[in-house]
Amino acid sequence: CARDRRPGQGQRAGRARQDTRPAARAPGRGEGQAAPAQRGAEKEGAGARSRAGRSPPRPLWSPPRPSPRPAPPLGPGPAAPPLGDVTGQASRRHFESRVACPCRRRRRPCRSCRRHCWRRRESGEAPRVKSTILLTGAGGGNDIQWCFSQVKGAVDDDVAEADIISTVEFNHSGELLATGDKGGRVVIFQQEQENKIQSHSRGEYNVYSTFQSHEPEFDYLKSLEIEEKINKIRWLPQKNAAQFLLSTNDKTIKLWKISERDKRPEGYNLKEEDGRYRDPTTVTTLRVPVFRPMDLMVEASPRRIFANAHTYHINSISINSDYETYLSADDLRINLWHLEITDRSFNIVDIKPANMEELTEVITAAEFHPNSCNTFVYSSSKGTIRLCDMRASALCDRHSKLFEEPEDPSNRSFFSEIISSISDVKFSHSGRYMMTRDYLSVKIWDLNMENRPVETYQVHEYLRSKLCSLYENDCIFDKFECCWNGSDSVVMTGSYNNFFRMFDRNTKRDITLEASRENNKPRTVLKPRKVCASGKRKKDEISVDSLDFNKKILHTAWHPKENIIAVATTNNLYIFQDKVN
Amino acid sequence: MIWRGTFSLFFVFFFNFFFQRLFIFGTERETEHERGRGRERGRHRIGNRLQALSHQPRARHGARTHRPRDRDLAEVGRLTDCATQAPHPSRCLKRVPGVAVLQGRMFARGLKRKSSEDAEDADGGVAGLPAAPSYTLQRQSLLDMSLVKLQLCHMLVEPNLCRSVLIANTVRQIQEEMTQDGTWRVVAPQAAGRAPLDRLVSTEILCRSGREQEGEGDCPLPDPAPGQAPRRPQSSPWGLDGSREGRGGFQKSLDHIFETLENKTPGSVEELFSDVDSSYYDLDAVLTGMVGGAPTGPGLPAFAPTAAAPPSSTCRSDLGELEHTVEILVET
Repeated sequence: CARDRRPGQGQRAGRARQDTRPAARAPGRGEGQAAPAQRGAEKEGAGARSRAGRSPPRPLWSPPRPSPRPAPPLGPGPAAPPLGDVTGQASRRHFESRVACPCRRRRRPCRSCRRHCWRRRESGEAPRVKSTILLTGAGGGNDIQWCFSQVKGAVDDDVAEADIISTVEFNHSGELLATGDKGGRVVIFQQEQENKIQSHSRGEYNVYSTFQSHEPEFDYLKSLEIEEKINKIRWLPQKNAAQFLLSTNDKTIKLWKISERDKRPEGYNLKEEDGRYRDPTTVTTLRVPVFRPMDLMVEASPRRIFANAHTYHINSISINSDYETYLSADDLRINLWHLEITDRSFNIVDIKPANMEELTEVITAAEFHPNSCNTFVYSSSKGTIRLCDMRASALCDRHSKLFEEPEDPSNRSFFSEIISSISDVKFSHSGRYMMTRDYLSVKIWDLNMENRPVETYQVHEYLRSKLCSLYENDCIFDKFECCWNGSDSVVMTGSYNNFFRMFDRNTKRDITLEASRENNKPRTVLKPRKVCASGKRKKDEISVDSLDFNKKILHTAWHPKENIIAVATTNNLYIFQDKVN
Repeated sequence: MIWRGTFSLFFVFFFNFFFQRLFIFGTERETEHERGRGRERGRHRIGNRLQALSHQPRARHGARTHRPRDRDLAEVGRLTDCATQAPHPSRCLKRVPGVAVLQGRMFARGLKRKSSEDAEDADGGVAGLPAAPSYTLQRQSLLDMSLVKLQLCHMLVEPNLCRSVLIANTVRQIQEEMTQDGTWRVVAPQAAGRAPLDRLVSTEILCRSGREQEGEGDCPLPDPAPGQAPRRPQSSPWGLDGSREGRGGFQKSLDHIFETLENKTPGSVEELFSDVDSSYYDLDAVLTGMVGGAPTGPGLPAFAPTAAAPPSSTCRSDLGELEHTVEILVET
């Protein structure tokens, strides 16, 4: 190890070593920022070492390796850091063969690990890592103990239909959380700046802005009412002091600018402070208006309105990675818009048959690839996902890839098609995987493999025998959403009875939690729940028949960087975060 | 001109009709206070009530929905019994290749069914233990339920295309199975005089689909007479021979649903204009509350009471008339 030879320069050598293998690392993650000059200087010293220990070149995007450590026990266990092998063996190994650092923060040994490692190796102790790294990097919904943080919304059980939350979305930094409801309102919460004194919890989310995004309309030509329910909200990345978001109802998309104002000009010559105009003859002296601080005011103004482009109901919008264009998908068509141009859009997908009687398939969700600005996917009601490349043709009716899993003949019933209809599709942050949610399961697909998903997680398999009743009370048509966590290691989705489920991709464990007002004391650790499918009901388990199918969690969101989740029940928004010691 | 003279009167009737329409919408709501909530938005609402409040207290046990027929109630109850008592997915609604397997059990409630189905299913009225109903019965009740859902979908203010498509695909799947099993009855076309016109049309389509026997996609059926189509889905599940009409009727209901869900073409707008006479008559009929009565009034042109088109009870026809009126007024 270079550090052994030159312990004083261990850090720099390590950083330069990272840069000598640019092709084998995931782009855009910003792991090593050493200047190129350093790279040249250190290469001789580190080159031999790196060549000797280099593992075969990795593919461009490779998932984090499953850790070889034993799986930790599920549920509230001892608060030991789940590092597994904390003897010197791991630290020795990661010098020699460059496996993932035990702190799991990076594939290359991270700075803190290395610094600790060599020091500890000399003194024979285990590498010590800070607790924050433990929580964010350890991954796994099961290593994390989720505690209640906040709940927003009315307390009473009488649900006003206009308050039903219809979408939840964090912005790119995670500081803002936007929710849309059926009444056309958008409520934005802002995270309080972390209080260094109270380090036991991350910042709370408080209301930042509320505005009415869409109004109910009436389509006179078709004699149809257009609901003002907000179907989707998508944030744009922040470029200046203002925030921008796109919100859509069934027919119209609006670009909103949310800006703060905390100063106001005072000292006009011709106007009084309250706005009345002064008589010019009474003006004797002139003064220059100055800005004085005022109470913070958050204003939301619609900057663009994109209307009249969709015949059917818009079900999803997705912003391109070039941050200039976005797509909007309705049941049969997908349109591509430019954020600056409101009177024109390009139709890129059209699956409407010439004869409407032959209609058997509709588009249910669409999303742009997070890194490639020319790739997008759309899912259909038949359980297929099509990936299209906009470079191939102007109208992307012919897919580039078709992701479809062959049907399992043993599970076939009359409802097979309905439950295979995909309700949500989400790309992972890395861009290699995508996740789809159909009625009973969550499937994770590798973009390179089309014939079957790489992982399948059953969300509520106990409902498979109840499909007939669910068809009758229309619950089978519920559209659940799903989300990734920031590091793409855990996926989360909702279920009935205010349950939501998390699946850890690395440890293959899952956990069921409930969003209810019973545990609403702050920092109450959530207890995992279990639903028993058949017969014998153990203590603390809930039988399938006593599930409340009106309490469903359709919309969830995960903070892009931290372990904070927002879960929307019918009219309440619950915010949970992991337990910080 | 007559137009100018009657313009003010049409305005009066228009606004009357508009307020009437509010009232009609009002009756559709479940509770009175919903009306107030709608009004404060400046918009009267017909919410999607199907899966909302009416199901809430009972959905937990998969209980029955509002059904006009006792037969359906019983069937639905049986389905849920099947679901809860026989949790094996292999026993519930499993597609059995070839012959429909008779479970050898009888109805729990001993309902009378059509003799053709009786021969397949039960043997006699001995009410045995509540057991898993036969596959054909399940399939039939599922078909009926889907047809009802399709109708209700169609009558919603905001029709959900995805839902309609999924239900329609389910119905098609059942139809294909029934065709393959041979239980799809192909009815010989009856004489035009005996049967009502709508049934004739439905059997014609029934024959055609039976003859062509397409595997997957539907043969594009000609659009039935628009006057008949709205009546068809409403009458299909009612009555004892409802299922027979239902099989023919669902094709038309499918077609009609998809036709109305898409954008109205200019051609159909012309059709609306061509119907302007009878629509005015209907307008008056609704306003005066008389069916078939000739409206009297000095300024009204003499609309002779034509064949008494039944006053449309559904809101969609009302909306259609309102639309006619609006078009006329805008044009003038």
